[in-house]
Amino acid sequence: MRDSLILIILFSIGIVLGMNLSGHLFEPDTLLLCVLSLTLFTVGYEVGCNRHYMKMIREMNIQVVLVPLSIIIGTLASAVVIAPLFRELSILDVVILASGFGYYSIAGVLVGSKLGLYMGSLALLTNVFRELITVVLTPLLSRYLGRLSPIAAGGATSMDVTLPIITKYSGKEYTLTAVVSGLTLTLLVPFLLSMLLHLRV
Amino acid sequence: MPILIVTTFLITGLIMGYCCKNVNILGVFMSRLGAISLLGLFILLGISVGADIGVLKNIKSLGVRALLISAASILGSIAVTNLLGNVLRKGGMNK
Repeated sequence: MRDSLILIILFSIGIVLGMNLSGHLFEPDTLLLCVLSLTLFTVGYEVGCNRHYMKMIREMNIQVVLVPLSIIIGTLASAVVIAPLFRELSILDVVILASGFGYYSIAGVLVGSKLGLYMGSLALLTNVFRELITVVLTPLLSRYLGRLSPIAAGGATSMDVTLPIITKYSGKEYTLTAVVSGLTLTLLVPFLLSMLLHLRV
Repeated sequence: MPILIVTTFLITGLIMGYCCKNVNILGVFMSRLGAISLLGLFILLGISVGADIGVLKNIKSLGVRALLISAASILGSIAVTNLLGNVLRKGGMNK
């Protein structure tokens, strides 16, 4: 929760800077791409060098894979259902916005680079909200909608940011499922987004 | 093209991390580098948005739309996951 708030504050500081320095400023897009590449390199490195994750992946059974699969199906289906509410967005646009699964840094930049800043900002906020809602509502979700619900809500964040709270409210026996689900979605987001953006452009 | 670049970086990081022997020293460095680059990423994203007047004008409606889409995504994924929940539990997922 605190980390998400810090990121939102930094984003707001960036907006203020952008408003005041507009016109005098360097082109931020190239730098943005460099920093995103660096971020993803470090994410890949941390996942790759974590022997615990690799052991979990080797030992997991087919049932665990069904959790991220059901999250993907549920997210994309709900995006299709809700799409008619937004007149200016196509069904594919809403599907693209939802398919960050909470991985806001990559979703915001990738969508923004292909579809413009408006869509990029929308993708960023959609995925930040997914994480925030999960953090805030996990106790209620776990209690009333089942112990797998916080993992489903967290999406890609269930392997890092929301993992402690998921473990606390769903139980330690769900930790493996949460990590594998979050890891699968984290690694899948760039490919899924690139595929959907390719269809859109 | 940007997608290809960032995906390549992700996969390169994965392979390097998997092959790296000296996990402790480089792991701590990469973790800190990742945290710093994430902070930089958000400031840069903010600057991009702040420099675009069109996006700034719509920031309020953006928030409402984003909230609706994320709430729908969460409900959808919970519904499908719970549908599969019984099957998964029978399979002994958490043993």
